[in-house]
Amino acid sequence: MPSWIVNKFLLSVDTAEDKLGRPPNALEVFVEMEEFHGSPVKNCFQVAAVLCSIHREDWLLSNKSGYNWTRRPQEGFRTYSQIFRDIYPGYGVDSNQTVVATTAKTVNYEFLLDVLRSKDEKLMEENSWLWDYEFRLLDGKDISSFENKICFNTMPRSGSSWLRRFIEQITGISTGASTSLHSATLLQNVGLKGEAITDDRCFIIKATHPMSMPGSITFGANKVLWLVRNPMDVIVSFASLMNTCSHTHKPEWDYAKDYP
Amino acid sequence: MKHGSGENPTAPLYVSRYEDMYLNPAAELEGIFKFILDLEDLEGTNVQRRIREVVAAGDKATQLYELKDTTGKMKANVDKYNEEQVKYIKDNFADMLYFFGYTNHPEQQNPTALYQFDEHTPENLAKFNGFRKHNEEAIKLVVKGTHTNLLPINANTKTENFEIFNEELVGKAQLPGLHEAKKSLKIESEFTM
Repeated sequence: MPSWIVNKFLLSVDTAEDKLGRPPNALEVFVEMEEFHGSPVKNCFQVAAVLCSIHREDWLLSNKSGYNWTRRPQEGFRTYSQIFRDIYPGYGVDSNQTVVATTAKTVNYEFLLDVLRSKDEKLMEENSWLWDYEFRLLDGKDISSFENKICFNTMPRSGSSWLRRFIEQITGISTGASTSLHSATLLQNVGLKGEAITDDRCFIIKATHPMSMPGSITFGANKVLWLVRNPMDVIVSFASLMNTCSHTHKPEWDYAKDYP
Repeated sequence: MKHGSGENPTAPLYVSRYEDMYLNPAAELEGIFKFILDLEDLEGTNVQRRIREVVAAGDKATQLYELKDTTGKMKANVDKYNEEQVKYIKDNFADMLYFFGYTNHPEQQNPTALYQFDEHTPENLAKFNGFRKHNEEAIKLVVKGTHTNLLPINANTKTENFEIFNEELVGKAQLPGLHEAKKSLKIESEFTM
């Protein structure tokens, strides 16, 4: 990314933090940049994408929820490297910054299917390491002959991260995701190891297909698992995401009352 | 819904509802894993043991981040909509609301009846909870193994994808958040949609 863009972002984070007396969120960075420094991006999602990119270079620290950003080391804020080392021992990143096993154990897909489908409880007990909450990656061997690559489609805010963690708990294997790390870094930071992985390290891949998401990775799948949520709740939750650029932060204000 | 059915069948599709994951996670996960593992019945399998262990461990075991106080609560957002907005959804998406079981039914209790219809057309009633029948067929298909003859889905390709939110709409949807950010930074502005 050109240094003039990075520098505008870093400057805006600093000046917004000076005014607020606390690290700003993505929307505050956007407003600060637009008003005082000239914004090279058009909307808050683009701001969040650039903030995530700068964070991955360790030039910005983020808090646990990924809602606030700062350059100034302070309690509760960590760099990408610090977060990664804390939550992914035995793993590193490849040239695309997706997670790869370095010293961590990986799992053979055929073996996994045998264990899960079996009625032999002893087999499960002998392999209890599979369910030690590490959520391993597959060993990367070609799994196309099984014709069981699964595209897990959802509209954002339908509970996909929640169901992914259920699936990971049950299989012991990380789910992948086709969303670009520009927006998925914060999910990688909370333990979803398979962000931006669509290859044979994972066999269930989350996507928002057929909804277009900039930068999404293309992949083929043999089955589709579709998670839906009623429109009454998903619209409100999506509005929160749009207006906070955060999966966890609930706005302090109320749409129905403050912005009818 | 073209997946696994219709004139141009592609990869089989299983539909899971967020609400069922809250109301009865064990049953919902069993359905999902029948589909994932191509099994007609999970009785006695290790995957069934894992499902029961994970569900018994409770919410904390699957929580990735702090949840909002409305998460998982049925009808928590009813008051966020005015009559006109609810009518718009009912008028335009009735077939889907029936298909996914989000409506009332004259003869069946429905814990996910978020949209109330005073009158039900025979066409809509025939669609009620249609996703469940669709799922049964999807499991039959993968258990038989014939789905491997179907076309794979090519996710995120330009030919299959469509834009739900264009740049203008994204900008408009974020106006409340931007207005609040301006207030935090003490920048005077008037809010207009």
